[in-house]
Amino acid sequence: MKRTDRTQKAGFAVSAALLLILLVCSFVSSLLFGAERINVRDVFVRTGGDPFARIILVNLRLPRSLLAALAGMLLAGAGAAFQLFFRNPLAEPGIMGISSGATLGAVAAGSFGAVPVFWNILSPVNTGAFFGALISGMLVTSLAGKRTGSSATVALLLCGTALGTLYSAFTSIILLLRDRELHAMYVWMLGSFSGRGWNELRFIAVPAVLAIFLLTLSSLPLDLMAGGERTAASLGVDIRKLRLLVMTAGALAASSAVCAGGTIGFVGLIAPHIVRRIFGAKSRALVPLSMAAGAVLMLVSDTLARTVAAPAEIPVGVITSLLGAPFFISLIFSDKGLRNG
Amino acid sequence: MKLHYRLPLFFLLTLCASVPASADTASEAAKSNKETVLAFAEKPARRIVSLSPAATEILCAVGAFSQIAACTDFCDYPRNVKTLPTVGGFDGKTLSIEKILSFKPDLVYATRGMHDYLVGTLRSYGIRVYVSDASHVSDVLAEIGDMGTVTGHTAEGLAVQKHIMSVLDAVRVKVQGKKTPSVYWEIWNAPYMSAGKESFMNDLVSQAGGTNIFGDMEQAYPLVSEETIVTRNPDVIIIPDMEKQTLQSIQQRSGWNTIHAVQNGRVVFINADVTARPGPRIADAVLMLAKAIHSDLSFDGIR
Amino acid sequence: MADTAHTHILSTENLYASYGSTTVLHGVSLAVRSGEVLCLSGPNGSGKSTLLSLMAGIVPDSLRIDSAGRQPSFDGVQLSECSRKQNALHIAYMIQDEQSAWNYTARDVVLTGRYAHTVSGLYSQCDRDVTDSVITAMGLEAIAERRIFSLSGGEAQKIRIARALAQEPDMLLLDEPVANLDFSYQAELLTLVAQLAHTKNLGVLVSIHDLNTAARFADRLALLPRNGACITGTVEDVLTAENLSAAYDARFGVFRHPVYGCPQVYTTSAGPVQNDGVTDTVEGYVRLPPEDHVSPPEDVLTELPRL
Repeated sequence: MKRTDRTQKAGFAVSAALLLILLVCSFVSSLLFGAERINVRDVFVRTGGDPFARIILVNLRLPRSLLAALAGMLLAGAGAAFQLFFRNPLAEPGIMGISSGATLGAVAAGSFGAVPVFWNILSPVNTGAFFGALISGMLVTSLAGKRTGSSATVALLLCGTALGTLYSAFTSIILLLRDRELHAMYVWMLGSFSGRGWNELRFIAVPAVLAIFLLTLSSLPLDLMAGGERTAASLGVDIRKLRLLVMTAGALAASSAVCAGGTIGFVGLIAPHIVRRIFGAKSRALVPLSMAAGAVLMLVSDTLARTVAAPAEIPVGVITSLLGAPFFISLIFSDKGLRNG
Repeated sequence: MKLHYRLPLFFLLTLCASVPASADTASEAAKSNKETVLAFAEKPARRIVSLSPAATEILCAVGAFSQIAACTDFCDYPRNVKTLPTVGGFDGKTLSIEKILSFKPDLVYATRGMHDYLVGTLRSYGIRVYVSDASHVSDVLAEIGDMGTVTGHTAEGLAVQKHIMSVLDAVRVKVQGKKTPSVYWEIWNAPYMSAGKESFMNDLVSQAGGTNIFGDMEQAYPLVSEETIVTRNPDVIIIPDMEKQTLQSIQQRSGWNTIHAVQNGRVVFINADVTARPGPRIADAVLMLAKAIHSDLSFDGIR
Repeated sequence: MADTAHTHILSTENLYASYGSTTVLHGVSLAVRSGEVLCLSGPNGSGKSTLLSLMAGIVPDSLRIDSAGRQPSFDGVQLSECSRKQNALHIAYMIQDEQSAWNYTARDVVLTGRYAHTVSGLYSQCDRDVTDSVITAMGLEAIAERRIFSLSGGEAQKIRIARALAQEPDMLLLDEPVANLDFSYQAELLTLVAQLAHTKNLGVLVSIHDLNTAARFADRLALLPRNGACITGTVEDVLTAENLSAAYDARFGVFRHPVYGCPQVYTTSAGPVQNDGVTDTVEGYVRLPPEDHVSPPEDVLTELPRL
C-alpha cells in the first residue's frame, strides 16, 4: 500500500503547508488591523506620511503579535501534550491548578506590592503570575511523584484540581481584603495582551523556548501513551521520566503564557481538537501542529479583541471563550466525537 | 481552570444586564435621596454610618463629625476619623449588615454601584439610606448641600459649597481662552484602562481646563487601545501614584516616546485618594489638576 | 534485535510478591526459552497477569516483591536493572483489553513498536521498512491504512501483535490475547503465535485461561494455582487430574483430543474434590492410551493460515 501511504503523506503535507500559510496570514493581519487605521505605505516612507503608522506597527503591534503568537503556541503545545499524556480530550494547561496558581501569584504580588519590579523589566503582577504558575506546577508534580505507577497520574490530576481550588480561594480572600484592586484584577484575570510587548518577550524568551523544545521532544513517547501506561512502558517509555518532562514543560509553558497575556482559556483545550479535525488523529505531529493552530487562534482572537469595539478593547480571554465554547460543544455533539479525527 | 471560564461569560452577561439596569436605578436613587433629605429636615440624623471615604469627608466638612457612628477601614481624612469605629472595607461584598446594624444607625450613607444590594435590606429594617451617585462635580456639590441639611448643619453645607464653587470659578477664569490641553488619565496600565464620559475623573479634567482624550467613550472605565493613546497624542498624562510608575518607566514604554506628554516630561503623578474621592476636596483636586495641566499658568492665591 | 540462532531465556525463580497484605505469588519459578510456546493457565486471581507483567519487567502499581531466588531476568540480566528501552528491545508485552485513546491509523500503531529502536526521537526509514515488512508478513495490508476504532476485535489484536513484532523482540509475552475473540480468530492468532515461536525462534509466554486452548497450542504448560508454586512441564505432565483438582478446586477428567491428540480436560462437578484421584470416563469421550496417538487428517491442516 505504498501508493496510499504516499497520497496520505501528500495530503498531510498540503494541509500542514496550508496551516503554516494561515499562520503567516494571521500574523500579518494582526499587524495590519487594530484600533487605529494605518496606511502600510506610511511605515516604509522616510519623509511625509503619518508618523504614527510606524510607531503603531513596529512598536506596538509587532511585539504584541509576537507575544500573542508565542503564548498561543505555548498554551496549545502544553494542551496537546497533556491531552496525550492523560489520554483525556478535556485536558488543558490549567488542569494542574497552574492557572489558579498564576492568578494567586499575580493578585498577591499586585496587592501587597512586595515583589520589586523584576530586573526593572516586568511589573509585579506579571512577575507574580509567572512564579505563581511555576511554583504551583512544581508543587503538584512533586506531590504526585510520591506515588509510583499509574496511580501517580491520578494523584496528579486530583492534586491539581484540589490545589487549584485552594489557590482560587486564597485569591478571593486577598481580593476581598484588598478591594481597591478588585476591578483591575478581575480584568487581568480575563486575559489581555494590552500593554505587553518587548519586556515580556525578553523575560519569557528562555523558559518559552525551553518549554517548546521539551514539548517537541516528548512528541514521540506521548503517542505511545495512547494504549495506556503499561503498554507504553512495554514499548520502551520511561513513564516517570516522561511525566516529569511533560509536567515541567507544561508548567514552563503555562507560566510563560500567563506572564505574556494573563489567564487565557480555551486555546490550550481546543487547538489540539482543531488539529484532529483537520488532520485526523495524527501521530507524532499533534504537538507541533497544535502549536501552529494555537498561534493562529491567539492572533485572530487578539486582532478581534483590538478591532471589534475600537477604541475600546475587549479582553482577549473573552474572545477565546466566545469562539472556543461553541466550537467545543459542536465537537461533543458531532459524529466523530472528541477522540477522533 | 474554572475561574477564567466563568468570568468572561459573566462579564458578557453583566454587560448585557447592566445597560437597562443602570438607567433605572439612577433616577430612582435620586428620587429616594430627595425623600431621605426631607425626612431629616425636622430632626437631623444623629447616628450616621458612612460607607465610603468620600462620604466621611463630606460629613466632616459640614461639621457632622460627632454624628458619625461608624465609617470604613479606608476612611483616613481628616485625621480624627481614624478614631472612629469601622464597619469593614469599602466594597459591598466585605460588609456585614449585622455589623452596620450593631451601630443602630438612623442613616446609612452608601455609594451606588458598591452598596446596591444593601440598600433594600436596610430600608426594610426602617433605616434610611442615602445613595451617593457622583459622576460630576455638580453632583458632589448637591450632595454636600444635602448632607448639610440632613445633619442639621445647613449653613456649613452652604459654606463648603460656596468655597468649592469659588475655587472652581477662579480656576475657570484663569484657564478661559487658553489652549485646552488634551489629557490621558491612566487608571491601570496592563491592560490599559482609562476614564470615560461617565467617570468622575472626566469631569475633573474638564473643570481643570483640559480635555480627556477618552471623553467620547460612554463607559466610566473602559479598556482602551494603546494605539489610540499614541494616536491621540495627549499633552499631559496623569497617573495615580498607586501604580508605582516613574517618568522613566513611562518613557521606556515601546512607542510612547512620540507622545507629546512624554517628550515634554508632562507626566503627572497624583495622589489617587484626593482625585478618586468625590468629596469636599474636589476643589483641591481640580486645583492640583489645573496646575498640572496648565503648567504655564500660575494659580497662586487660589485656595 | 531478534536473533534466530541464539537461545535466550527469560526466567524467574522462587518469586514471592504481594499487594499490601495479600500474597499473590507464592514462590513462582518460570522459564521461557527461545523457540517454545509456554502457556500460563490458572484460576482467576491466581496472579497470572501480575506474573506476566513482572516477566516483562513492569512492576504493577503497589505491588511489592517480597523475595526471590532470582528476580525476572533475561539471559541472566535482571530486568529491573535495565532501562525500559533496553528491555523493550528483547521483550514485547501485550496487555489484556488494551483500549486506544485516539483513533490512529493501524500503520501508525504498528510503527510505535519501533520506539525502542529510535535514538534521535524520530522514526527512521529503517523503522518504516520494518513496519512495512511486518504488516505484509502478517497479511494486514488491507487494514493498514484504516483507523483502529473501525477495526474489529480480532483485527485490532492482530495489529497489536504486529506492533509487538515490529519491536523485533526475542520474547513475546501475551496476556489473554484471545479471551474475547471468536473461535476462528482464536485459532488463527494462536497458530500464528506458535509459528512465530518455531520459525522465528521467539520465546512465547502466553496466558490463556481456557485449559483446552492452552493445551492445544502449548509446547510447555505452566499451571499457576491460587496459593502455591507454579507447576510447569510438558502438557502431558501438567494436565493431570490431580494437578487440576488441586489448582481449581473442582473435579476434572482428562481425555485426548480426537483430532490433535493433545490432552483435553472436562469437569465433572463444581464441588470440592474428594481425594480419590480417580478419573472418570464419560460415555462418548474415549480415553486413548498415549501410544494410540491419532494424527490429524490432512485436510484439516490445510485450513490453517500459512505464513
